[in-house]
Amino acid sequence: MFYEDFRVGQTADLGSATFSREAILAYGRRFDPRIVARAAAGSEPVAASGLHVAAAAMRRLVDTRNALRAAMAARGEALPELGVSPGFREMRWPRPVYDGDVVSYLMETVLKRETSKPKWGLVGNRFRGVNQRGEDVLVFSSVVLAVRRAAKA
Amino acid sequence: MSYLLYFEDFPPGEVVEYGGLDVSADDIVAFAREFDPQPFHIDEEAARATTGGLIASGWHTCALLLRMNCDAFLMRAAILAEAGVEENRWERPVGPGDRLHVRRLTLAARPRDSGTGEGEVEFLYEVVNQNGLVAMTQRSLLVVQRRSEDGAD
Repeated sequence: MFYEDFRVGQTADLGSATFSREAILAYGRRFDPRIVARAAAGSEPVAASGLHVAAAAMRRLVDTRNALRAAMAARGEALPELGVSPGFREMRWPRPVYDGDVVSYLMETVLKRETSKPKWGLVGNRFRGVNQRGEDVLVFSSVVLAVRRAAKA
Repeated sequence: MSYLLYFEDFPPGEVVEYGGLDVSADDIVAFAREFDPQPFHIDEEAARATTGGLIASGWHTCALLLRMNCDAFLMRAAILAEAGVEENRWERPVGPGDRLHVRRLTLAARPRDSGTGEGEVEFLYEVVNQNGLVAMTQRSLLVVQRRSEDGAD
């Protein structure tokens, strides 16, 4: 999406991810051996690493964006250059994600700001992950640089 | 599980260094295919044109920090909750061949209301590459059990 396509107050549905026991343990084996240790100690159900729940949000975002880009390409529109994100803030995990849970991800645009570079604008988004019972399992805020439609660099 | 590290073992102002993880192109691509399949994370050719070469997903760097934290202390610490990440900044790209370490500064250690037997510890992590340059910073909060309340020593 171009900078101009983001609207403050607009919420995008990014789709959902199912957390299987295998996926939770696979992330744990690579990055969070506490998950594996708890499962080995018989602690059931296994809970996903918080950063696994967040990384899955990124995957949903990329897939959503790719679908939008494919639609734009099909209409013969110019595709926006992909911008980088400098990071995220205020990440919280209100509840654990257990194996079998289905997390739906939402992204609400909360701010837009022009930058000193005419090519790029700054967009602030608030992300939420909600489980199949409607409970929040993840929240965080992030900003991303979005290329401006007007500027053909 | 028996723990070795309690709230009192994280004094404010303490700086600890640990880690030493090598990042390969295969690691970068494998992570990104699952969680962040953008061209500059999964495709060497495309990456050369945009970012000058393959770069790791920021969520991968987060995961590697988590792994180094687990190996250094999280597995042995009486963590009651991961209260969240206040701020995470991707300062410079991580690429194939990089070797990452962690520099951990304890910013604050706040005992919670008397009687709960827990305290909140605020860490600032810096992920540092082989050239001594900071690739990522993360400020996060852990709720840790107090030693005195547990009777462990």
